[in-house]
Amino acid sequence: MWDDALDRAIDEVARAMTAGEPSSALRAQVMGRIAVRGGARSRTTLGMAAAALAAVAIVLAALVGYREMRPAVRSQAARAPDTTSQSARRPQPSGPGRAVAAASPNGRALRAPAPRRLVMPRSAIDALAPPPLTIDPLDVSDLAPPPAMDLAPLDLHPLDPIAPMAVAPLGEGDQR
Amino acid sequence: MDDADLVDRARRGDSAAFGTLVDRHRAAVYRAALAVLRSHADAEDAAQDAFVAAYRHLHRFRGDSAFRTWLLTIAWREAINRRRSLNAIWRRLVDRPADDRTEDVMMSAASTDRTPEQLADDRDLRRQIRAAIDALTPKLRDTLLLAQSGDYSYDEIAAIVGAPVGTIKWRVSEARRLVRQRLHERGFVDVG
Repeated sequence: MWDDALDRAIDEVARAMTAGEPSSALRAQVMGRIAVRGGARSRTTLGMAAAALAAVAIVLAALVGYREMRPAVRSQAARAPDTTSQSARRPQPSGPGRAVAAASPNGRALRAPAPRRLVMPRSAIDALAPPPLTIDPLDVSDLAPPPAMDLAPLDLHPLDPIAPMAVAPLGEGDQR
Repeated sequence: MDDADLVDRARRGDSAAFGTLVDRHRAAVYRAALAVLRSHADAEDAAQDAFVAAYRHLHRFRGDSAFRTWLLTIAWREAINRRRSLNAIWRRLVDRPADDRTEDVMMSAASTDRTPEQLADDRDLRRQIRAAIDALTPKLRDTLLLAQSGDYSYDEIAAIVGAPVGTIKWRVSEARRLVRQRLHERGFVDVG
């Protein structure tokens, strides 16, 4: 009997602890967040697609340019003057630098190639340009203007002036 | 229109259909979160997050269970994660949950044809019961509150919490036993 009554009281208290309703604005808040998230995601997707396309175009351009440059560098190396006789007359440097110079497979001293300059004809660059991106405009509706606020003007009164205080030095009788 | 139809329409981009689902299940989602978080503001935030997460993962819902059960499972995890977060712990320390609303509900349920003395006794008993429920372990307390909210069946609670139905029944029974035991220790021998 006692336990039954107590169980009923426990059930009532437990039910009261989870009683309540969410605010009526819950649906509007959820839908607002979903709309914002959806718009941001579509913008992010478009941006990432454009960036990926640009990256692929750059890599392709670099690859094609490199392939076109390699034969030119080889032909320049073939036309380079033979420096064997000159190097024989010059005093030879000592140390590791000399060892590297002497280690050429055909016994000839090698000259470091001139720094390569990537020069591409204008027409080749134009041919590699990616096609222009066509992106559909985002469908974003205008926000409704905020409701006008009806604020009552504040009723301010000037403060009462403060009377000047007369301060006199302490007399001997006032001192302890 | 049932939930499955609304889910199909929401998947095809009909946000109004998802809005109808929100309206239909918002109270159940909110109370599940409230059972965990015990704060109306936190429960409201968790319910919002749960609905947004459900919308984002709607394509993962295969229909093995009811949409409501799937949604409540998301809300439950959201609330558990929120309770574990340091931020929530801090807020609970600084600002206790809104006990006033719960106290009002408790006393309005108890204040029918009672003398002032009986009302005072009721108030004291219910405070002690509440303290005893607060002192339970989270698993026992959450399950008891879910079961007693009246919104969920045992099968549903089992799916939400991820435990067998037998375990859920045991937890409810054990929670009641511990609360009774604590009240006995406090000297409550007759409810009147």
